[in-house]
Amino acid sequence: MRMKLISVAIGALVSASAFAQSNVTVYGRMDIGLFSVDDDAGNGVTAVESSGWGTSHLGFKGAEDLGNGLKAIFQIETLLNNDGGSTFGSARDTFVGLTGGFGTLIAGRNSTPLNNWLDAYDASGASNAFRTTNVNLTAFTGEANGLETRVDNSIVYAAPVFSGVQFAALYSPDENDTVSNDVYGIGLRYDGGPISAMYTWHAVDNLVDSHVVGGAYDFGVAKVMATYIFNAADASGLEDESAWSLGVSAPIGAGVVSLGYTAQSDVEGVLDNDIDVWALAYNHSLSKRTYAYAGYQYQDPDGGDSRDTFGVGIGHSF
Amino acid sequence: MQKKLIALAVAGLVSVPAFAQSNVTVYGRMDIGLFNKDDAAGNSVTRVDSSGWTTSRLGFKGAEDLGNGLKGIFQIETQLNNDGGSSFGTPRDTFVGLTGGFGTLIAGRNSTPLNNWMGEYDPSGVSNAFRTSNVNLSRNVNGANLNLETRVNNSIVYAAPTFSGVEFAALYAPDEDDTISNDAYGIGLQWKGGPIAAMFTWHAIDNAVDSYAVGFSYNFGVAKIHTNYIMNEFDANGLEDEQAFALGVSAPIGAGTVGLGWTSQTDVNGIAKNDIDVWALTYKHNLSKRTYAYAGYQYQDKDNADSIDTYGVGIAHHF
Repeated sequence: MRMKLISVAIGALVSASAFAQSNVTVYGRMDIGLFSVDDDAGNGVTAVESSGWGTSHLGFKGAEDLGNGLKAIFQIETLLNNDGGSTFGSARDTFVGLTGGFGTLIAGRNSTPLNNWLDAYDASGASNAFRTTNVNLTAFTGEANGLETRVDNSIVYAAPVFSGVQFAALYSPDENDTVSNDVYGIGLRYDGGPISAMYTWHAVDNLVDSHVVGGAYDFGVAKVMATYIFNAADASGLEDESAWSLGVSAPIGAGVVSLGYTAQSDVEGVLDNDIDVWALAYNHSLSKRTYAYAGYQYQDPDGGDSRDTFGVGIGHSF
Repeated sequence: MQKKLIALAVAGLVSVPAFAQSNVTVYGRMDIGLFNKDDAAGNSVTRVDSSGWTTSRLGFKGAEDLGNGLKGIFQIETQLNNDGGSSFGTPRDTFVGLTGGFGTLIAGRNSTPLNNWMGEYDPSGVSNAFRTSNVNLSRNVNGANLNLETRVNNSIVYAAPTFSGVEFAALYAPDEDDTISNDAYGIGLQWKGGPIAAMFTWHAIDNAVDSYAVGFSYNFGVAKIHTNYIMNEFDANGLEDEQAFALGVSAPIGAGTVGLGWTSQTDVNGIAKNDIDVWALTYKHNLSKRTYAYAGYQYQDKDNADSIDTYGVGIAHHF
């Protein structure tokens, strides 16, 4: 009885959750490697870098069954700076919402359909250091609104997958009553047998419309993939940014080797600011959750010094 | 053999703690909603906002039995910014201490007795967007880093064991400044018995403010009334005493609770005739014990400025 009284006192004091402990899953990834990257002056710099292949992150997630097939879901995910400075970086997909027969409806900071899907159409799976899709495009600072990654204050609806077809939509009000910079996104994707294809449209009001198509075909011995990105600027005086990419990846034993190329035109809306990128990468699975990797990326800008990046690293998902 | 080698390598690499894993509970809340709120210029703005009803948070807590009924306890809790920027916001109740037959003694960043108890005396449980208690009062003039209505940094808290429904708590925080004293103090007394709950709290910052709050609620079964009165006496010359009276009613309807509240705040921020009345109507619908949807409307009627409307819907999940 005394114990009970004390626990009541603690409960009132520390505002303990009144509910039973739910199953919170702690998950994440650590990725770190040794790299050599050319700096702006063209000098090769050796660096130990986090997130060379997959982005290091820590997350907490869970679900609660509400009955009738409805579930409440949540996720909190943060970038990890595992090579120095503060432990936790910017927020990644962090949301609360409902999922059920109608699909999934979540709100928070959410990945765009493009961010969720692009890795299927990049030779290296859109690895951070060795990607050959969407390498230098900015979408005219639509990048800052998270078009290529995550959008703050967004509501996302994802339809149930039907015969391999996925549909997702995103909306984010800009919380500003003077000029509208609302963010929109729509994505459609099909996966069937060896074929995968997607189309996404994203836009920031009064800033940019971004169209992306991707396709991949898996021959078994190798997989080929291609993308085309077109960012149309709303402001006058800016060229439309565009890029196409081509890649191939092939399983070799416990690993996957990949080769990719992209040609980007009028980057940042600047006429003839063209940048070609080549990358060769190898990802070796040590287990289902742990991999080692090595890669080389070559960026060849028309008007500037080329930039080499090579490195080796290890990643572990938990 | 290979596994063993790998295990050794891992142990060397990541400096695994040398101690057995204790039971750390991971807990928290996520709350997000769609809101329409008037901004300072009087224009309405549509927003997706975190923490409309309850503050989104992530926490870790645990206890260790020390024998003789004594326990070591700790808690680390951080606000979550789940609608932008960095993941983790300012710390919430974060402390380490002891609990036992003598009560609980903790130190860290701690809620004041008022912050722990106020929910009982507001019809929406002091929801963030739709509260009608302590809406605009400042109470931190000349002591901005000492938020008496929420949490106090570097504070020591003692809570007595609950005895016949009576709770007592005290808080003290030295100001870490040797020139002028801005030490923070808090004392609270609360009693809950049957349908009745009542509290009195006193908080103060030396040379800044004395704050008194009383609360009372009575549960008739079909409905519950909530009322509170707050008075803040500022020590500085030229500042009026800030005060507020609040009255509300809440009623269970099916799986939900509807709340209606009103507060009349006078001389807000110590400025004479700076009066703000607030009305709010809320509905909280329980989808389970841990998940609820909500809708609400709050109207702030300011004597010296444009009124502010806020309405919105949202969902919250406790884990």
